Amino acid sequence: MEKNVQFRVQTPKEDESEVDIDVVSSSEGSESDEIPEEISDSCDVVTPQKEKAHTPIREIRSILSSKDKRKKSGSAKKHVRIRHQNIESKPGESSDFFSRRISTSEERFVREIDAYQHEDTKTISHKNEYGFLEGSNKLTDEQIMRMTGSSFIKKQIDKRVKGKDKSDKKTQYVRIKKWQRMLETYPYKGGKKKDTYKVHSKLKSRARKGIPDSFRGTAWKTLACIEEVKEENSSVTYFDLFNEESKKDIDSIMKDISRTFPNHCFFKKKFGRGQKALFNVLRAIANYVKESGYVQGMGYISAILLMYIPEEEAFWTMASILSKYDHIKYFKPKMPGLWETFYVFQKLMKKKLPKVHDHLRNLNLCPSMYASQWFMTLCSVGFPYECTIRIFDCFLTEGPKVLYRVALYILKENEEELLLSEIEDVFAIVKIFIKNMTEDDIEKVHHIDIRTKKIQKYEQEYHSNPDKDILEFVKV
Amino acid sequence: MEKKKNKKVFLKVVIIGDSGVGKTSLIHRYTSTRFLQDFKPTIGAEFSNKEVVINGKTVVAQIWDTAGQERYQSLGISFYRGADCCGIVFDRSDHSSFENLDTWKNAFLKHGAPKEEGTFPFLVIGNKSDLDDGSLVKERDAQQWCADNGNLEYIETSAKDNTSVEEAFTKLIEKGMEREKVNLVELPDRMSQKNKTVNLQRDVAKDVNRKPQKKKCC
Repeated sequence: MEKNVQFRVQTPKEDESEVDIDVVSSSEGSESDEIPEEISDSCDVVTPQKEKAHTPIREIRSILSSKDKRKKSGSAKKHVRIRHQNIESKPGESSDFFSRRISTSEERFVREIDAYQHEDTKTISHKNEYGFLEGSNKLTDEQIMRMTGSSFIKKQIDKRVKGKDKSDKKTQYVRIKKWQRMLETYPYKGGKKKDTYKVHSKLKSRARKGIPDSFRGTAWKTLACIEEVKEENSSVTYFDLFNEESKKDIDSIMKDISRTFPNHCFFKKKFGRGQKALFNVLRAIANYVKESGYVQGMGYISAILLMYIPEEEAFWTMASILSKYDHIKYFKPKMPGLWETFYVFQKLMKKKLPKVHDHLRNLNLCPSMYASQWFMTLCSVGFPYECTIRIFDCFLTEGPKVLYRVALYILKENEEELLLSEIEDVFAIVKIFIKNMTEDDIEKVHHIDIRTKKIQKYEQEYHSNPDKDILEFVKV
Repeated sequence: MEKKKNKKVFLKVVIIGDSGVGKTSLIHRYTSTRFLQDFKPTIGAEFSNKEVVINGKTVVAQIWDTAGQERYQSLGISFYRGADCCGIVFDRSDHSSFENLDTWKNAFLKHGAPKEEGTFPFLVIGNKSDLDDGSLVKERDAQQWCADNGNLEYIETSAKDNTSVEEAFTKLIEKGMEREKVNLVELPDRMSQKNKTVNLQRDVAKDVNRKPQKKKCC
């Protein structure tokens, strides 16, 4: 008895790529009770066609509009009228995740409209499902080969299967339901513990399959326990933090915000909504972690969070990543975490991939030369976007071990080639592999058996009685 | 083939300078002959490689692009070691990046610890010359700084307009070559090391390749 109503948006040009949004309405009323009212309040979509906007809305993925009429009229005017409230939560306001569970998609929706209204429609129409503008000059495999000077014959990457078809709306809906139920009781007794990262195995396996995109924002902030972080820092508010003066950092933040994901529609516009939000979050972060201040790399993580989570909550999620997940160790002066990580990584590599380890060692390639980005930015630089968010899903549920897994997976998948390679080839192989990674790869990442306990054991070893040979090699 | 390979000279080129002065863009322009539109902050370091023929010799320049932010210096140190030459970049439209040249040079000499502190081949690169609105760092000032700091060479470039980028890197590599000539002892040593590693791995690799073939036959 389900009825699918499809709204379509099309920008004035006729043959452009378009985004579909499905509004699933069910005539069996039992579930429709749960739909928050604010959705229908916040976006009132006027469609010139028969459909009226007051159908219960489950999931809004993108812009709504009507297609056919415009074709007839041929006018360039927009047929979508949107009225929205200011949905950014005010400082101090308590926010209940579940009553506002669609706020993220709502936010995205508003953002897209924003961008849609401000940018010239030609560029916007070429963005992909995640809002990245297509046709921006990404490096091709050949260019990477030329840049790294490698003459290595790449393996047939094109044959690899792309990620699963996620278009089945019904399964998606069911999955969102599951996630809601699962996160109602999260975190379990005692809150988040940074030394164990223990979660229910069901949650783990579901996170590995990828959190449904429209639920991602809510899931991320819940997984990161932002309420807990807020409580721990009850003396400061987001508002205070980003208004606090910190002269030193402002310059470097300013330099970087226009360079962070400029090919995403949300961050494209100079001093637009996205860049402003990023600026505020980074300034607040710089004041929140005074000992490190703003460090390049924080920008990428915050930007990705902002694509799913409203500004203030994105800040607290970032704060949680820094404190609860101990990510701050990478940004402290002298970057103590980085050396620790490289030590552990080298140890793990020696154990799991001894041949690669020996070979890279012969080439005198230490992890700091190729792996710092992976750990510092949570794989948000160089990786395909859909992989990055899947890594975020797992990182927020399972903790940093995911990063080690990804790093070892990259080397493992290319073991044969790497053993034949010289320095310049290593960079080409790794870069090209990362660029062409698919979501399937992310699922395979978890076959690599690395436990948090093992990592902690090596971390302790690093501090108490390190293997001098490895330590010297890693630290150069 | 083997003999040809032996003639190659490997040079380690390190590019340093403040954040956002255009180090990555310069290297990009040089190695891939195009201007990077959506440039992003470099995290850690990036490696690129270019083979050039200078004075009849094939030189493989291994160019290390480092992160500009101060915090990353602790990481950058590992790239300074064993460098043959170093390009210090500043943004001509950003005077503070010019003032920081001192810091960069000293940091490099301190952590890279090259044998000849006084004569180590530096090249000072003033980038973003295309942004000419009269407030750029003047050539005179830059030349003055270079003269005061051990007669370094100075060049003005623009990665966007592709002005003098090729020249800058060629100069840098030539300087590195000159240094190599002085330290002749180092050259054969490094070459043999390189060859050793290659041979070893080829053997290992062959073994790896054979195994799956056997399986197929059975």
